[in-house]
Amino acid sequence: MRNRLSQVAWVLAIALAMSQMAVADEHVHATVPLTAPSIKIDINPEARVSATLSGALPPPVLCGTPAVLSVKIVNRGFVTAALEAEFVGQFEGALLDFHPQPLKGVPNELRTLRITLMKPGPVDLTIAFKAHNEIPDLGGRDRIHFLMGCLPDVRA
Amino acid sequence: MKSVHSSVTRRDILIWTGGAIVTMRLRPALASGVTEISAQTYFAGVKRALEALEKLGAPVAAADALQISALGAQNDSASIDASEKILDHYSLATLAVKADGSAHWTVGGAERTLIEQGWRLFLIRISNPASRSDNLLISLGTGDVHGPGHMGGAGASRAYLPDSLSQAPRIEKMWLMSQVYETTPLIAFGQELQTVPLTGIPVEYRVIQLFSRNAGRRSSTISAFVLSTKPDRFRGLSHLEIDFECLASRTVTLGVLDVDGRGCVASLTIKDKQEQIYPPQSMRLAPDMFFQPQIYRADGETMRLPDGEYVVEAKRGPEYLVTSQNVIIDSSRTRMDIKLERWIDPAMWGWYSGDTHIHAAGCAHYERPTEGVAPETMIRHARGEGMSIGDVLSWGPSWYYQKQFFTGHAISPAAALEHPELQAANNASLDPRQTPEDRETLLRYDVEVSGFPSSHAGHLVLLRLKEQDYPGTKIIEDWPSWNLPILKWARSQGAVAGMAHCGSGMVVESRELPNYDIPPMDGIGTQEAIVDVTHGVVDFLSGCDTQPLAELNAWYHMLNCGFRMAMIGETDWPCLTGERVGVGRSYVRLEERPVDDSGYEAWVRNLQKGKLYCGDGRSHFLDFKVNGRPSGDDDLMLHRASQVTVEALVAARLEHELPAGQQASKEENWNSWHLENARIGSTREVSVELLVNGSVAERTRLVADGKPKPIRFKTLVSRSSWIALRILPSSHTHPVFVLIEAKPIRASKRSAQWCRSCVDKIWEVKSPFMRESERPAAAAAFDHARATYDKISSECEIA
Repeated sequence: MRNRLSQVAWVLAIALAMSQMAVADEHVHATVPLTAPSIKIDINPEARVSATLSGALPPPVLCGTPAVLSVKIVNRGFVTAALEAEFVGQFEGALLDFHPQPLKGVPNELRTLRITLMKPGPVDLTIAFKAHNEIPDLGGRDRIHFLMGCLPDVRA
Repeated sequence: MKSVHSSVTRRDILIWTGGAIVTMRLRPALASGVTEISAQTYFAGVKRALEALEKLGAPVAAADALQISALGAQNDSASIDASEKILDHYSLATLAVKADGSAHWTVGGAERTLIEQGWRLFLIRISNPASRSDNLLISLGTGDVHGPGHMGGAGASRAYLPDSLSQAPRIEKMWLMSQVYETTPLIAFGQELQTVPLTGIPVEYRVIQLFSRNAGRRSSTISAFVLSTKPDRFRGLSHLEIDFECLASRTVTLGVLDVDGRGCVASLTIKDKQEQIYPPQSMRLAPDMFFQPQIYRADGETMRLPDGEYVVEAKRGPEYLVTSQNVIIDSSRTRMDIKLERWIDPAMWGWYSGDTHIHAAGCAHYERPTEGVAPETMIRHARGEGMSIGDVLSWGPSWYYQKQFFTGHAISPAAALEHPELQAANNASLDPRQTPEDRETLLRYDVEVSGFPSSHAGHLVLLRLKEQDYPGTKIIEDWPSWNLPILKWARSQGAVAGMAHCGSGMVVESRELPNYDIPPMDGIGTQEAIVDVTHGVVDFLSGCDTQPLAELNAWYHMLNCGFRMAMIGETDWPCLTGERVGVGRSYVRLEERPVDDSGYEAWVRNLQKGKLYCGDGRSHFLDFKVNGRPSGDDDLMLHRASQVTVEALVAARLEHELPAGQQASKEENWNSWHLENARIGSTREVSVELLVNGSVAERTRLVADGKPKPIRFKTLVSRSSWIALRILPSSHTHPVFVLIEAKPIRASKRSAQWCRSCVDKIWEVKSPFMRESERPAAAAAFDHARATYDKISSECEIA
């Protein structure tokens, strides 16, 4: 019974999230297109990688299902090594999957990063990026952090 | 528009994901306190705040940091309560943002002590039980520092106040100023405001930095405005009067003496009993860098410090011992005397150090009010690290600004202030002084071809240029799209040229040295040099700042093919590291100390000849000879296979034990040059290895106690060979070349085949980036390289 109540609460939470999304949309349209990549990576001529949040994150998905984040890569270093992403710290029940293919070395590329959360509830994620076998950026500019959550699968 | 993105993004994140979820889960819980906050999100935010304090030179007490770290590992509600109690000691105030958007300040538990004419850092606690996602505008004092000049984009995340000319008059009018660290710019009310976006976490911490002009007991008002998500509307605001005790600060004179009693420039790291660094890193001005804890000061210069007890750590590059002393500053004690101590002076054996790859702009550097810093700043850093030579390379970022400093000559300017009016406004109290040793350090402005069309093929370091613009070019984009034409142009004007950070793109799985894996060629290191060396235009590979094995492997293979080039030391400061200039160095042998333009000419000429060793400066080959022949001299000619005598005077210095907090890498994990990684087990010994054609022929153990010790090997040379010594990963000599019957070195067919395969790999990876118009010439040059290596391979007797 308690589980059932909990699931109902989550459905209400989703509904609230959707209603708030409309508020967010109103603001977003005035500033940044919703299609803007979630993350922007800048690789400088010395192959140092910096990362910023540049657009909206995708809406929450069901727990156990990957949320797909678009990543724009501005490559000013002609780097053709693989771009790597990893969690900073341990996040129980969170999985990260990033495009493993080497960069093409072209000025602009678009990749996707998948984050799968297994458990509902907010989690504060930090992700660091670097080019394979290169030294990370100085000053912590290689990382981003944000809150994520997933929706419980009520069918389960 | 751009400035709004990040706040929107954060808001989106909160509203779409955590916001609703947090709201639903935590709203009931928060009515009774903070104990039901998600521990993971709470501690993630706390960790970032503490990291920010540490980065800014004002860490929380070590015991508190440890305890919070342990609490974070517990990850439960009790740990949050305990953490809150600790953090209260560092919190200036708490801002409670209520469900309706109104806000209310209360005073925190931090000791409200400021420093006259200095900066202090505190935490601001933000309580947000309703998980609102508004933006906050926080200010404290008679004015805040919002306005033009904020550092953004690729610049470091830091306070921008002292580095903007327009702010100086404002500083003079205010007794108290504030700057919230890592704000998000938001356009509202027709202007750009530096705001704090609420993350939605019920309790979060931010860092606020306060500057006090005056001493004594004073008060000011802290204000918070809650900005509505609707444009240009406040949802709530709160003010709170806070009183402060502002400690008097004093002008402290520094006495900085070298071992011979002469005044000089040294590196000083000054901390108080709470480990806070002076001057605070966040509010520095050139010549002090915000990304370094240390400052560089000359004998007789001054700085401002409040009364108190300090630990002053002094050093001057790797040849000096680190000295530490406790100093008390009060009304009767306003002077610090620092007497430097050396453990080695390679100049006594004729070796003079230089770093041929440092930058005055780009990467971590200041971007305002100028694009990077001027020679007056760079020379201070080079002197403070005890270097004879610093090659300051202009490159893509800030190229059009920095190239003004190129003169085609070595310079040794006074370490004057670039912006004295800013220093005065920021109360840096720095009156530059010259020292008797100043002329012993030279700068030479030259070029790194990085951020140019050919950079994909590996970055070039061009030294001793007469002209810095490639013929017929006006802008960077006009330059060639591959390296060989640039190397030929450099050679034609008498320059000395090679590849920067040579290990980049050369890392392979094998941990053998030499190894025969073909590198991915996906970086910006040696790469095209393997082709260009067959055209006779590569003078050196420049390393000591990337993975040692990746740097050395290609060098060994090319030496085995009979090519002559040096391995030199560089830092690529502040791109590969912001630690200091001279992390990687070349020690070049000269008859006399290099001074003036002629001194630089002699230094770089001997570097080109191979009269050098390179490394981290923690170990030294003071007198390396094969049958009495030093490197860089004529080849040693033998009539037949013979035993040769290798002698050297070698010095290295490790502490008796691995210093606390320092970790040595095991051999298979060597990623950087540092003598500590060469320590054998828990001993104070390192291994000195004799190389013949890149393979270890002999090795001996050396006690790294700092005292020069003679070593001697005898080894059979059965064919033309190169012989060198190394202490990996700390230092490496240039080879002595031994020719038998005047035959060229053809040491290894596999090395030639490796180089040949690399040519194909480089063409595969790099040729798509070359301009169509330049590709035929490049293809011909690559074909030449293939033919050369095929020929060398056929001439090798040894597999």
